[in-house]
This record gives sequence, structure tokens and C-alpha cells, in this order.
Amino acid sequence: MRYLFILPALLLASAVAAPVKYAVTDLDNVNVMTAENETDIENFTAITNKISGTVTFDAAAKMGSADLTVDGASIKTGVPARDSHMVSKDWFNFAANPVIRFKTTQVSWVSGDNYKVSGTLTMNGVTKPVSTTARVKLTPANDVTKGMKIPGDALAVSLKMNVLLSDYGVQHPAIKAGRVGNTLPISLKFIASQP
Amino acid sequence: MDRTTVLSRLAAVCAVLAAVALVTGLWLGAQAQPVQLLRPAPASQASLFGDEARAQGPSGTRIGSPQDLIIRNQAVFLPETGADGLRYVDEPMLTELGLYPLQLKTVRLLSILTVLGLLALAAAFWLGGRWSRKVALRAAAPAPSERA
Repeated sequence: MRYLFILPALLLASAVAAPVKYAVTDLDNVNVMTAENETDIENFTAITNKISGTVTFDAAAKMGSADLTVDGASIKTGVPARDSHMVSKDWFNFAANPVIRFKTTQVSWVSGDNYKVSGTLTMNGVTKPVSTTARVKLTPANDVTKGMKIPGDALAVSLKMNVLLSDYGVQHPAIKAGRVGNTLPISLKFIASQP
Repeated sequence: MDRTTVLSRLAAVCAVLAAVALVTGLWLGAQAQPVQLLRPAPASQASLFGDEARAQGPSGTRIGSPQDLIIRNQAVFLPETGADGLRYVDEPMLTELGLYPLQLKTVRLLSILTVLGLLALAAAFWLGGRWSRKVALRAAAPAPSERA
């Protein structure tokens, strides 16, 4: 007799703990990736809002995964000459390899909206493991999300990580001379929703 | 005007220009203030990311880290002020106006390089003037046979 209750319980559990796939929404005024760099003459921030990809998130089980892409060729630093250097083969070679890709391999919940994330980052054709913490917050569709033209529920993600230029094949003499910093703090912020 | 005088005057001009460069660098640098670039957003939008618990400053996305910048156009500044006098600047408006603020770091480096370069030039002209005077004196001195 007790087995009669198991099947509905299993069905209910699977309905509650179901991963949902979200796609990065096209919100140019919200989505942003920044990368900072220190040089001997000035510090600058490279910016783009061309982020795409998907995030799979199970709000009940607090688990998920992500496969995100950034268009490196769209990155701007405020100085056109520097932008053209960045896409050249002397630096990031975005003209030939514009794709920056972040793919998770493991996501574990820490507390609240915070998650420990491990994955791989591909840049300049080089793939390296990275790990960081990310804030992931799911907001059911409401007046705010509808006002922002977000279709459905809004999954807001923000994360930061530090990478080394030399790890990704950027070997410019200015880095070795200490005139350009080798450490690149990267910040990613976007909203994904159900397509 | 002989060569010695010309070189001495050039040395003086370079020294004066070095002093001007130093004062200009200090004057420009004094106008720098700590600035955080920001993409303003309504608090309701910031709350989607869980950013509503900011102790100070306007809501929105911080672009990069705070820098010491020289910005004269007051229209780009947001009314809020952060800790230690941190000002917030509307980053999209900066881009729209085509403004790329000068950094204190840049002013200091260029000022130091200019001052050192002009001082080196002044020293070279001064030494050149001294050498030229020595040569002229040697040429004007009577030959040993004439002295006898």
C-alpha cells in the first residue's frame, strides 16, 4: 500500500527539482563584460556587452551549469588605436580568434545566492582551467522584468575572476618589461531568461 | 652672438621650460579626484542581481576600479559621493560625449619625463657652453713662443 505513495512523491520531486535552461538575453544596457589592465602610462578597462550562451539552473537543487561566449572583437577600451592593437596577433589576436568561451565543469552552492564555480576559459585559442565564485539569483517574472522586456523569469548572474595574459599566449615584450600588467581581472554580469 | 652665449642661453631656456613643465604637471595633478565609472540602473534592476545591499553610492554596474581622473565636464558626475570623496561618473554619458578622461598616473609620468628630459638638455647645453668657452680661451691665448 505504501508503494502507492512513492510514485506521486517521485513525480512531485522531479517536478520541483527540474533544471531549467536559460539563454542570455539581448540586454545591451545590462549585460557587460569588463577586463582591467594596468600599464605604466595609465590603467584602462576593456568593455563589451556582446555576451551569449546558456545557463542551466535548478533553483531547488541549487545546481547548474553554463556555457557562455563573449565576442572579443567587440571589446572597446576608449582608445581606437589600442582597440586595434588588442585584436592584432601581437596581443589577443581577436581578429583571428574572436571567441572568448567560459564553460563550467562543476558548480556547487556556497550560501545564499553564492556558488563556487569551476570551469574552463578559452581565449586566444588557449583553454585553461579557472575557478571563481558567482552570484546567481532567480527572479520570477514581475513588473520589473516585464518593464525590461525580459521574456519569462530572470536569472541574473555576476562573477569575477583573475587570469594571466601569459597563460593565454599573450607574450608581448611590454608585459615582460613590466610596462603592461600580466594580471587581467575579468568581470561578467548578465541576465538570462527562458527562451 | 658667440657660440658660448647661445649654448648658455639655450641651457637657461631648457631649465625654465623644465620648471614650467613641473608646475603644469603639479597644477593638472591637483585637479584629479578619485572616480568610479558607473552604468546607472534603477534600484529595482540592481535588485535582480542582489545588488540592493550597497552601503554607499548609486545603483548600477561599476565599470572597472576607481581611478584618479581629471574630468572638467560636471554634467557627467552623478550626485552621490562614496567613501573618501569617491565621485561617480556616468560611463555611457562619457562615451556619448566622446570624452576620455586624463588620469593622474598619465600626468605624473609625462610630467616627470618632460622635466627630466629638459633638465638633461639644459645640462648638455650648459656643458657644451663651458667646453666652447674653454676652446675659445685656448684659441685666444698667445702661443708659447710669443709668450717668451
